[in-house]
Amino acid sequence: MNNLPKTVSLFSGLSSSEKGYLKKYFKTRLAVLSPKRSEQFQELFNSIEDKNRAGDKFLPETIDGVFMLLVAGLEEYHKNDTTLARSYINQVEILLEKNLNTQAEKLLAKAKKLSRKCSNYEMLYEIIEWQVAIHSLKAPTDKNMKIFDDYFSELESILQKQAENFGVKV
Amino acid sequence: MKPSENIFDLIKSLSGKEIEYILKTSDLHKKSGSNNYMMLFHEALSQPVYNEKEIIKKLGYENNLNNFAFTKNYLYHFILNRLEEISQLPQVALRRKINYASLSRHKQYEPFLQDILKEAEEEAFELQLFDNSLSVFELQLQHKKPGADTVARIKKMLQAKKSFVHYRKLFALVRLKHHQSSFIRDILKTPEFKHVYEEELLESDSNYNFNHKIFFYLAKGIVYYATKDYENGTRIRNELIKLWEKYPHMIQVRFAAYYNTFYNKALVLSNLGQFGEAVNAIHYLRTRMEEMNRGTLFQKYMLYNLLIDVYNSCGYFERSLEVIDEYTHFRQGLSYSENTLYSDQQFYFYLAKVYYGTGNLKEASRHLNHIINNELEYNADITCMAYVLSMIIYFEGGKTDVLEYRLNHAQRQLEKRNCMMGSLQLLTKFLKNYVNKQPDTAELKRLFIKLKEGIESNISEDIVQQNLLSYFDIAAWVTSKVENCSLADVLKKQSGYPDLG
Repeated sequence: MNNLPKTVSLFSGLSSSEKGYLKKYFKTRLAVLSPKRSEQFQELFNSIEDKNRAGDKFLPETIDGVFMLLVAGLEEYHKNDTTLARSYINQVEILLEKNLNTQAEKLLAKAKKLSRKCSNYEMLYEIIEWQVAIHSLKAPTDKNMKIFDDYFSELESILQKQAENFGVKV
Repeated sequence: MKPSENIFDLIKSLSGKEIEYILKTSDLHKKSGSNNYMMLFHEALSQPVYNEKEIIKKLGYENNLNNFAFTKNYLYHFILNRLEEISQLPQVALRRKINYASLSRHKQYEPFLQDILKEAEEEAFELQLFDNSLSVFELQLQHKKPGADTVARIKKMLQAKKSFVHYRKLFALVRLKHHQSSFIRDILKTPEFKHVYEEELLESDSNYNFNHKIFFYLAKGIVYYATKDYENGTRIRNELIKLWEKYPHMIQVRFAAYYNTFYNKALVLSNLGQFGEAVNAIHYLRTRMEEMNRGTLFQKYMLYNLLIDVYNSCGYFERSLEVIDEYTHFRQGLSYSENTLYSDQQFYFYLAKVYYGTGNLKEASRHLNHIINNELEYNADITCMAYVLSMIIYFEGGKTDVLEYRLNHAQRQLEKRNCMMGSLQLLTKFLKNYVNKQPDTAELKRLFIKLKEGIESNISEDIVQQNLLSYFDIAAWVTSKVENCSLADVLKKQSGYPDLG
């Protein structure tokens, strides 16, 4: 499917402030591409910006790449508590892969606070699952076992709230 | 107060490709020259050990510490954001997609995001990441009522999550407490195991129950391992492997469980004395980790820990020596919380065995002293065997005077820990005799033969002693003295792996 009309249409509907942000965002992300690809991306971006120029000479993957870059930039521009919390969960996973568990725990606490604030039970559930995973590496002292029980009780109550939210009985 | 080193640890953990991406995408706010936060990045990157004072001085923040704290925090989140952008982890990529799709909350973007929403929905469902599926449903349903089909799917997902909590808890509990014999003795009678919904595990609707099965089988596998029921353990492990083969796309999602499956396979094979197969299983897992570019430092460390234990158990100390640098390197990189007393004890004891087995008595002694002098004690058996091996090293090094002096102390330490069992009593008696009488070669050999017979009859039916001596095989050591060969030769012959391949 040709995504060019969609990309043009998305861009043309943006505010001038959004366009300004995307322009800068686009520039920094092009720096990581090969010179040839970067040139193609820039050319297409220019043609989208300037509706007078034809864009049908571009490869579908270039059009898709530019579309996704625009969406990614827009997402960053419109960052809110929910998307920020989701980003934190992503970063927790990255930190854990790097064995930086203490840092991951701190970030999880931040994500939990945000998820609670926006009552996002799906994310809360994921966050507690990660807390369980990190906690599993600790010694099975009475205190730690109690924390475990608390986590699992929390998971059960979140599940209940999710069911209520979707209006289903489990 | 010590300054936080989070930024330094994060920067030092970056790969070359990650650094390149960060550098190339860092000039969004650049007007001229370099950004303040990137100057901090370069300074931290160039330091071998974090020295915040030096950075503050060099970058001129002495009179503006608040500004420095702000820059540090900004850089930290900047790096994490960039890492998120390029992460290939399936769940990260999926959440990123959901974040893009969440722009559909803004009415004007909604028509452009239908494809992304659809992709996210399919991916989340395939990977059985039901929280992500539900997040997508929330976005899809914000402007319309769900159909009966959607409600049925949501219900199934929530039910799957409910069961998952049960199995996840079971696994966490068993994994944490499987060292406690009283817990393991009664585990199969506990409500957690009684309430396993077998029919649910067998249900044909496999789109919803992969996670239950994985955690249930892993939990049961640990119980069989702890109760030394290796036959059933093998059966469960084969079920797990079948699951991974059937759902290869789940490996990346549940990588820790995948790692545990193969780590446990190698561990059980090693316990069964199938050392060659155990080494193969370790190499297989290591190769898979490299291919997938997965595995934390802790997982890599534990794999080397097991590899060295396997090599040591079947007398291939020289092989252990070959991988000792990697083993040490991984351990040094572990975070404070992972450097537990148990892993400390194991690490020094395994190294002591490697050096002893390859004839470097001085290094072996140095590593044993870490356990003895620093009172590193988590597992009393390891501490006791550290004392025993230490005595043996004094004996072999001909340091009779030190041996005499240390023997009584070692004996007291073993008694204090209830480790002075038959075989160890015979050994200390032998060493005392040796110190007092200084026997000639013929007499020494006779004493060794007597000791060998004594130890063998002592341990033949005593599981507790067998367990204790599994840390250091004294019977094999005595045999090596009787047969006038090395401990490595005896262990190799005994293990049935004269050539590990």
